[in-house]
Amino acid sequence: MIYFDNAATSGKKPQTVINSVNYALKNLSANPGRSGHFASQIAATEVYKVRQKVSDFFGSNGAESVVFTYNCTISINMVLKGILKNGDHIIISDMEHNAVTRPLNKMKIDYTMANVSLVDDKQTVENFKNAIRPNTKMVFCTAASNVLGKILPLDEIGKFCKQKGLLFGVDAAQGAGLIPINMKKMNIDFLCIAAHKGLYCPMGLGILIARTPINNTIIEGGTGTNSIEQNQPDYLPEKLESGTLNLPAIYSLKAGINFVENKMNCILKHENALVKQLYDLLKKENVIFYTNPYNFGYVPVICFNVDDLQSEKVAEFLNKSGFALRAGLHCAPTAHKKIGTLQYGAVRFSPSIFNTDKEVYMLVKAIKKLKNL
Amino acid sequence: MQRHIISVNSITYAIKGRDLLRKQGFRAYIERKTNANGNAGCGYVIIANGNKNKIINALLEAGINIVDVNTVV
Repeated sequence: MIYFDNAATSGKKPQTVINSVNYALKNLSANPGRSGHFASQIAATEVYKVRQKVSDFFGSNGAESVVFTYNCTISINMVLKGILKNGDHIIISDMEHNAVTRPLNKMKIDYTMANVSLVDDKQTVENFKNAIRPNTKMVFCTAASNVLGKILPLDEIGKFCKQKGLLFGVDAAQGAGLIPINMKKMNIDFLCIAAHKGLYCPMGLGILIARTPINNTIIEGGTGTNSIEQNQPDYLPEKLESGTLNLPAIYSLKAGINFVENKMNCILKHENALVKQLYDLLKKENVIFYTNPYNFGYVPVICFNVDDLQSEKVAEFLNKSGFALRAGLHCAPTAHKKIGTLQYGAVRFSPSIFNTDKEVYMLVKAIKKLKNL
Repeated sequence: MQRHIISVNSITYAIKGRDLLRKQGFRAYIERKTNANGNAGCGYVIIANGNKNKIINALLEAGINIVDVNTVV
């Protein structure tokens, strides 16, 4: 199976990440922050080192601002439900994942979807600015669309959020590890991350980095300290970290960040080259693409459809031919509405650093075969 | 030399404080809190040797919330 579904999760992990998970399972099997014995203290110290590494990598305030969660969706829920209340207004983009829109709908929070221009970042920023109302409390947007690959101008959005006194939250599920994100420089208050995508860790680990306090919690429970107190602690990270942590995944995060830290540009360049290769070869075959990878500011994600075939049928054919790609709406119906594919979805191609141009040629050959059936 | 038992909010702050004090040349380590002020367990202390004011100031400057300090000679 040739895996091109890395926007869902990185299919192949670096050996250093695998080694770290193994090491943690063998040597760090004590509960961090729950006991006083040396094994627990060693485990807690390793978790702390990873918090520091994450904070440094994403330009945050320090280890205590880094909260480990179960996945990026939980992190986003923690931000939205922890900050917003009835009467607040929030601005999101028109490419958000259901992880953002569903909590807002459940909470009955009033939101405006700002249109993201696929070619003009200045226009995008203007659209966000124009959506501000007197009761706007926050801007929350994706770092890069999981459907269209478009990177949002976080720098500029952060700048105006600071000027207007708005909180700024970012869903970096698709951006973390691929594009540089510095919370201080970009004025980001809350950064939500899926460790298993661009940071190459196992599934079951999300990250929430909070440079600003979060008022309310959505999960309460044991934190390993001050057990006699029946209210949730009011300090990070423990306030948002009830229950036992996923230590093997957390320990491997250090290796994941080390893997991307010094070659982020190379990773992006390689993966975007594969996207362009697919685009060039299939354009000739009249395959429909919804974005142009030669435009500025895209992560390596591109959607296409083949003739009038349903996207799920195309993905099914490709699966049987040995290729893993995801079809449908990718949990982001607003992005599909934007490109007119809400009814039948599209097939998403998302390569990783481990894919090769030969594999792309093989995929193209399979799609040509489908077209000729 | 005076020995200070510094109670902090969490294991995260205990490790942060310990590492900070070590970087500044103090001898410091972490222990589980033992029945301090009648609160049984479930807490962490930094045990550090040296000048009390310097130690406390260093921790406070780093944003570490100190719950209490007991000094033993």
